[in-house]
Amino acid sequence: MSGRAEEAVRKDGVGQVDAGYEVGISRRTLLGMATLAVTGWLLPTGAAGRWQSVAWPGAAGPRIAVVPFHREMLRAPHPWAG
Amino acid sequence: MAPRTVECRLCPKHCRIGEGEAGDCRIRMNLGGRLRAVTYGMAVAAHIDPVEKKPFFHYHPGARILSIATAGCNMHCQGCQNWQISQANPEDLEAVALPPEALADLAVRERVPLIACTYTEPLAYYEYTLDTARAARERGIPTAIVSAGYANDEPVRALFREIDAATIDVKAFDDAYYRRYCDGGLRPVLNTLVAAREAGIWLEVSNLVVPGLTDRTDGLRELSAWIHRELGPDTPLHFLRFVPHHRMQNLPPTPVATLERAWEIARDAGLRYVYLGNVRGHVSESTRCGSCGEVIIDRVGYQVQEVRVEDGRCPGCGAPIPGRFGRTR
Repeated sequence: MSGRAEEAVRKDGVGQVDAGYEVGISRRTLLGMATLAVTGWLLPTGAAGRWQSVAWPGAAGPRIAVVPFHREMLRAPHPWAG
Repeated sequence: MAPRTVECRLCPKHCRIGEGEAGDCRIRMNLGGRLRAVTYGMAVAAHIDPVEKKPFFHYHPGARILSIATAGCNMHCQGCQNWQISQANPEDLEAVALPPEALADLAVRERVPLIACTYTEPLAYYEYTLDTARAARERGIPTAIVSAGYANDEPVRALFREIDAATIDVKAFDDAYYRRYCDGGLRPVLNTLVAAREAGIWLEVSNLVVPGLTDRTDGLRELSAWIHRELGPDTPLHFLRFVPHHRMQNLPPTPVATLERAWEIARDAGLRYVYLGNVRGHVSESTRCGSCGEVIIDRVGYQVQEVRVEDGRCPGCGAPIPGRFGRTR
């Protein structure tokens, strides 16, 4: 038994050891993710693009990724026939 | 409450759609027991093209046309050139929100005189096409569609009251081909062509000549004879060169000699305006007067070099030239 595991046994009375295959998320990472989520939510649709429900606001079902419209796309080369 | 199945009667497939599911076109879904057109106002393509690219050769030649499409299609042609958008789920593609009024306003703002619902299947994203045509008409802009024409008679005729022109693609004059390679049928397409003629909208017909599949002489002869008989000898017919796409990558491009044979068959059947598409620089790209043979619209590829039509007539012999040649805006 490793020193750390021995310490856990002494403290809790139960043999414990760190399990493998666990991904730790630091507080800093969590803070960053929360910041991104809030920022993305506050940005106007025209700047960031949004997932939009195809039925009605708040409805279940598929959602379409809506990207901002740019004038340049009207004249950009494109592959579509017809 | 028990889930409610709805039936879509827009096209001959009459899909019975369960709660939360989509019809064969992927566009029309049962959401909460209601049939919803989920791509309404969601354009996956929006481009300004030359009108010749649709193809329209007798419809405001040289004009630019604001062309849009949504995801999905009610047919599944194995040689589809736009399969990345026509055979995709709407939720798997990025779209721009262009509701009908915004689209019509965009055409006005960009000074584009025409709008086309094209690339995929405007009859499948029917409500978007219809409302776009109405919004555009209010602003003095005609709308055209480029379609396979596979829909039921009633909605087709209702749409033709709102639009100005159509290019309908006849896949082959062979119902078995439609069923095997396109997941459609011939008869509804022929009905759509007749409806377009009766509605008085401008009509052109295209046909993709696939080597070994739709290049048989008797099939081309039947198609040409039917167009001559039912739609008239002045109906422009475009034979399009096949280029390997989607699930027909095992086939070669159509030899130009095959297309030239198709051209001769159609001319022999009495059609006066026959063109070859996707063969850049071919002599058939230009329009010749059906009476005297003089070149009246000179084209190279999609570029119109000169339009010599004067007041809808040939400057050489004075014969009327079928089409719409006036100023659009």
